[in-house]
Amino acid sequence: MIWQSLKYGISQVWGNKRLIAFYYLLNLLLAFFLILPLHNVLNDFAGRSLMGAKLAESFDMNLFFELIHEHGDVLSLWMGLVFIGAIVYWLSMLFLSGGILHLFIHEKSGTIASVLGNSARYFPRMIRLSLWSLPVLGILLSVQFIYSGIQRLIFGSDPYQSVLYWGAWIKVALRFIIFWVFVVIIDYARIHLVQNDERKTRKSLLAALRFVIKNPGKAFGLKALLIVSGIFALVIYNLLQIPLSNSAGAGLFVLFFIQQIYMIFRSFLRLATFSSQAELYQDAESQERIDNAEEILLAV
Amino acid sequence: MRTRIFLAFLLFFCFMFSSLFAQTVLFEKPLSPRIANYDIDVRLDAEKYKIYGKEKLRWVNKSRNTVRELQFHLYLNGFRNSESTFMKESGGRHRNYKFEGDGWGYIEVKKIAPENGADLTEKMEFIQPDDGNPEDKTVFRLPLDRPIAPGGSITLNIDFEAKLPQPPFARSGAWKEYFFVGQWFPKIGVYQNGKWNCHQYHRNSEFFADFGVYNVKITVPNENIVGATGILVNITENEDGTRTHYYHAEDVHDFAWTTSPEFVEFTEQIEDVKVRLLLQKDHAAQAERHFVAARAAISFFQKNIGDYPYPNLTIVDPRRGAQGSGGMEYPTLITAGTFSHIPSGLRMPETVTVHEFGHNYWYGLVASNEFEEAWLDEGINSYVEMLIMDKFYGPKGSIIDLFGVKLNDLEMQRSQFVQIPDIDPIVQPSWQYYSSGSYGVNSYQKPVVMLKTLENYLGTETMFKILHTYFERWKFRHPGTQDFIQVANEVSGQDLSWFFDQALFSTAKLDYSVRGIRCKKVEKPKGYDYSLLLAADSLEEKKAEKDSFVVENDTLKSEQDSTEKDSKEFYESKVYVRRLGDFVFPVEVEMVFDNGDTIRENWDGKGYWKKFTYVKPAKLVFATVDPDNKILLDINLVNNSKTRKKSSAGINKITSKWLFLIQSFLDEPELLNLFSILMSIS
Ligand SMILES: [Zn+2]
Repeated sequence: MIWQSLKYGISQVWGNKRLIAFYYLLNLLLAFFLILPLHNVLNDFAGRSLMGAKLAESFDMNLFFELIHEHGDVLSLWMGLVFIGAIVYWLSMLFLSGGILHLFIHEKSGTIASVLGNSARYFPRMIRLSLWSLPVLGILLSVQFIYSGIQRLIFGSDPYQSVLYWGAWIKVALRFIIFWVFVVIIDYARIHLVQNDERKTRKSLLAALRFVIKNPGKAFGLKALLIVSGIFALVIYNLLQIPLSNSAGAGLFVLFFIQQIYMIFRSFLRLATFSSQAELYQDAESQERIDNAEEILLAV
Repeated sequence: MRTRIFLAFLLFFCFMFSSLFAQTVLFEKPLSPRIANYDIDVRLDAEKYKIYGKEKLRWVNKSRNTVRELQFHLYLNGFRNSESTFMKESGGRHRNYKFEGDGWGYIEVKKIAPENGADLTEKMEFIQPDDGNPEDKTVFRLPLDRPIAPGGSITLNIDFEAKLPQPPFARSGAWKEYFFVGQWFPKIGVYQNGKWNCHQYHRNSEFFADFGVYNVKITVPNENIVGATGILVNITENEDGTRTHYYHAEDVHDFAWTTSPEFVEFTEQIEDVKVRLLLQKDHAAQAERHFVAARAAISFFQKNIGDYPYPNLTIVDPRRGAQGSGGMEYPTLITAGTFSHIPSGLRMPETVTVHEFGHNYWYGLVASNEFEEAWLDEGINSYVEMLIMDKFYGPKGSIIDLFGVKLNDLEMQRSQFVQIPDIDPIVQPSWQYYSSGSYGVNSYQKPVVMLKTLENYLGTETMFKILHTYFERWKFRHPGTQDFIQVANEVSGQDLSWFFDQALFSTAKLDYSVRGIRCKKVEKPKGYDYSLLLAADSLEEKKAEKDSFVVENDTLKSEQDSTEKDSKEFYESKVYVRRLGDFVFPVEVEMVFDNGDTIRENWDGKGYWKKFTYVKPAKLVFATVDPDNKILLDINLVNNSKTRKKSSAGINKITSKWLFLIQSFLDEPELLNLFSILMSIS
């Protein structure tokens, strides 16, 4: 069922290639908008200095520290801007999720305009759903504190630094798992919301929880496949970028090209997640309905 | 016959007796004046974090004055309460560690009396020579009943009791089973120029003391491992479940020790130095990293600076939670600084070991006054640390070489210097700096950048000769800044006071800048009476004779040029160089033209600006002050050059890399989670 959903999801995304481009361009444009002030600061600072020109060969730490010294306040403002940019990006992803899911669940193919229209329709509910999901995230995140407690219980209040070090890795892994579990729940809640045009977002959240608890293998199996392909892409990207990381000119252009291919793949993956999860959810639900019907028939 | 047997017996007895009580001798001839000599018997109460000591001090008056009082340091009283000068100055903070809770430390002199003399305990009087803070009990004076004539000496018996701060704070203290005992005993000041030099314990200062011989017997629980200054003479078992470790050191000016049952011990012979490593259990895997660094440091120093006269070196790794005792130097004993699983590309353990070993030269052997002129120790030492790190682990990424980020020692030092280059001069009493940041920059980083600038000015060979001469001349003595300057002048064969006056005693900033470059085609003269314009006429004439010439501050200077003879178009290129800071330093200015021609000019830097004008059959591409990047004291290297056209390739490269980072961050903010690993090891 996982493979089928994935296959179906991928084919559906492939049929809506404009969406991939839309997702990718949104990411690129926002990143471009965020990098622009930094580019200008750098250009004003070192654009006519040989040190700026030599950046093409290798990064210069002296330049970096002088930049911090001369434009420290501008740089911290810029960091704030990137943070705000991240929030804007997250909100726009949340906004689009309604329209995208509507497309995959109800329309199968459509225009960017229809996606945007539907996104606007679902957006208030998506916001409410996110707010309702906060307690779920809180509960999930508390798992890492349980780990800290266990660590303290076993190693006491004065553990060796290596315990803290490996503990940090375990906590990182835990946080990733928690994050993914949370994302899976929220994804299915959104799917439920869009599929049933649910007005009460709490109901969607509960339905998603019920679904994930009932079908953990399928839900997490599919997500795991998508995560693994993401990691796989990252590994391939890194293998390709290492020999190019210090190049200039044509090499730099090739590097940029590879980076953008990677980002396009990420956009594709994000959309494939939506469509294949929607497919999985619908499949599992109709299966459940058939089972229920059979049960009723048998009972009759 | 009988007499002979008796004599033989007597001789044998005498031999046995003398060998039992003989002092261990390290150096046949004393290497130092041996002014302050200590025999200390100290017992540790590991439960109460207390030490009980009996000290016999033999002090020799090598001055030309009769000494009527003595002055002593009681450093541990810096941690006695919140009102001590140390605590008031530091607000309970020292090197990123905060003093919290109730772990106050102190030291009390229970009894002090000259041998065969009356008890002087009642005459002790706390004094505060630096700040008059009556709550500070880190220095006391002791008026003597009988003055000490020049060449005379005094032996004092001192009983003391001390409690160590917990956890270790500002170098010294205890934590659980680990003890690092530094600045722990009543220590006599330095009698210099007819008066006592005995400063209070300050947040921003280290120490100053006279050389001598130390015999220290340290009694600790049976299972404890001990590390200390000097060499281990013997260990004796006591009936109460303790052991006494007897250490002996000669020609040193301080003594520190450590003990813990948890140490894992490693040893290695490096050249003629026996290196002993006392590591924490979960750092045991890093033994080789420390040894590699120690090898680099020992070989560099012995080759370039001078002989390390002591037979051994002990490196102590502080316990977790006791890092306040890390990164510190004592004669033949240093403390390390590391964390479990620190990546090999983060060279903190190596840097600390190299740095602290270096102190055995610039603090241990050349005993300058760290209270008053900290740079002579920390500054020169950090400079040599930088040379070693960048040579052995560099030239790029000697300090950080992680995830493509490369930072070398010189860059690290310079980065801190440029943040606050001009609040205080380098030479200043440690406690009188504007802030601890300013103390740090002026004692460590600015001297590194200054000495590197001097090295580039004089040449590496001359610089090493200066360091070597300074070391050989001043080891086992107390040099001051002027002594260093004198050696530098003498070795370099030039009067460098113009440099040191600016670099050491002023806050003058060094900043040269190419403010502008202009390049325009030389047009034929137009208008009335242009033949009266001398410059235009002579331009034409000169053009006929030579290919190009230089107009420099209104004087014409012709030059041979290799440009093609048939070149028709001439360009006038102007370079405007300015000195933006008050620091005057001779500089080179380089002009590069689009036909590949390069011109180098020298400017003594004495004016506020300098204009260079060239008429050549080529366009100027860029101009640079200090093209070989020799003047690291220049606080702004970016403005040292100017290109005629904007060059965007480098900046585009950086921004395209950052663009991708931001794209990824937007798409997968959860990856930031990974940074918590780095946080966990620091
Ligand atoms: Zn130091």
